[in-house]
Amino acid sequence: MTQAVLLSATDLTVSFGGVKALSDVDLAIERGSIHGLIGPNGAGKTTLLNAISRLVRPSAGGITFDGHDLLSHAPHEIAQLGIARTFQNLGLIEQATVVDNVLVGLHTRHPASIIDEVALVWRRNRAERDALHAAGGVLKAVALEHVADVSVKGLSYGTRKNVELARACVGDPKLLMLDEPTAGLNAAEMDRLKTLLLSLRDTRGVTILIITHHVEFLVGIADVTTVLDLGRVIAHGTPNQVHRNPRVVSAYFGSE
Amino acid sequence: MRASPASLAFICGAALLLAIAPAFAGSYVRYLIVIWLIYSISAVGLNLPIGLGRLYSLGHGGFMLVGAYATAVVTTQWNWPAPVALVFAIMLAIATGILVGLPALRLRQFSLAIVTFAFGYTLFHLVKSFNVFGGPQGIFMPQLWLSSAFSGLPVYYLTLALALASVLAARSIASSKTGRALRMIGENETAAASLGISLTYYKLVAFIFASVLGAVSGFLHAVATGYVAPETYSAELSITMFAAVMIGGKGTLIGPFLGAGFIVAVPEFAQASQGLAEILYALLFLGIVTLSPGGLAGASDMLRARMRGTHAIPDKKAAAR
Repeated sequence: MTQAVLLSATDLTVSFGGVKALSDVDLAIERGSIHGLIGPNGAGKTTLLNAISRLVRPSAGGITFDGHDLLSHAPHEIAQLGIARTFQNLGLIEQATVVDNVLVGLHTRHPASIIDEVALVWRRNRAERDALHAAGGVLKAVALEHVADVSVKGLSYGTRKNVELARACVGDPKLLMLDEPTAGLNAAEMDRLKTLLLSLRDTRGVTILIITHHVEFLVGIADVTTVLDLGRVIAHGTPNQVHRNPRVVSAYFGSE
Repeated sequence: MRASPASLAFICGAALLLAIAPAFAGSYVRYLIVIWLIYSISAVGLNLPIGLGRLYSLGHGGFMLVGAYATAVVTTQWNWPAPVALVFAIMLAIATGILVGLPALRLRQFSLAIVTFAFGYTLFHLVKSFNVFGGPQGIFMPQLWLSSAFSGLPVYYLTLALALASVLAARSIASSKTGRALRMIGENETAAASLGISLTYYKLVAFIFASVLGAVSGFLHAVATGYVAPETYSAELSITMFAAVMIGGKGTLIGPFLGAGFIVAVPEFAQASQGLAEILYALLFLGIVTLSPGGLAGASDMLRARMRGTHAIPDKKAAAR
């Protein structure tokens, strides 16, 4: 039996040299949901993602994902468990082509070893063919087929964000964590992203944790929204509920 | 660096050309080709950590030293046959690569460069100080069938075959999982780890690949020249190999061959003008590195792009070769 909660963080505390970036954060992400994470600058949203990715070490608390204690895993083992993410400042290989970047997302699923690459070349070739096939499918889904063989360096910011999203999706993750995917997108691009995320959830059953500054983006797609401010959870509920929550309003605009 | 059929055709064509070259070339030209290919093999190895993973190793000469001295010691003192010596040299290089790599690869950029430099430097003084290794005089290799039969043709073809094998291996690695993992590490270690790439493992793989080809190159150099001396494998060799990768064009398939050609040919051409060789060499080095950051391989792309009036997209062009 699978549990309803895919990822749960309990009493999570992260400090950077005395400054608490997160204090006693509880978070439960339900399987198959789109979970919004909002909050003013410096609220600790990215730190929370980084803690799940094991890029920062919590000083207290625990994170469980799909029955695994995440804190007992090394950063590079997190992807293997089924967690993929994108970065706020893009983490693409600038000199590589779009399809090569997407193929990096298949790293944990790609069966070729260094021995295959050097000696058993037919096994490497078979693995590469399968990987290219999978990458091609994802590129089609995000409408990037036409730039597949173009170097990432020359592409627009919005397109590169899409490449990163494709790279995160290609490995069929259980949990997809997106750090500011809406930043710098125009209205049409945002609509396309919305459709894409919904179809990821509905057809592939991907659970999505999404950080955004565009609260209105979450309305209509997020099942739940958690609001962070100064490292603490200040509200939790549907996007519309938190939108009207006085604590949230005062966190964003200040209170009188 | 996607593996395109064109690059395979190019590699095979060049190998074929070199295979029939002995029919036309004199023994001196043949010797130059062998030396060029030997340095190319070494550079192909070093190109993996430097060109893909941006792991700046300045101790590559140390691995060539390990290969050459392992070969010289076991063939002269224990009378091992050459093929066994090659296998031994490779094993020793792998062991050394792990021993140096495991602690050193935790470091980055300058720290890594300094530590690897110190490694090569230490080995140089080690072989110079102990008589087992021939001390400052070095070791004369015994008469080997490889280098003496058919006026040296066996070593010529062995070198050619190993050069071909190493570039094909590099091509296969670079255009597959390991190559992408290394490029991701070179670009952004944090993102690489989040994508499931083990930094330790892939850095070590790149480092070991380089050390194996370094040892193969050292083995061939010992066999082809018949003499192993510490001065050949001084710290300067590490710098020269680093320079060869940068001059040729790091991260490209053909770059190591261009770079190795540069470091072999320029001193050869400038030999007539005593002392000028180093100056000319240094000036050309400066010129290439400043004018074309992509090295010689990158320069041709830049020129072609300029003639067509478009900007070069280095990656697409590099794939064609």
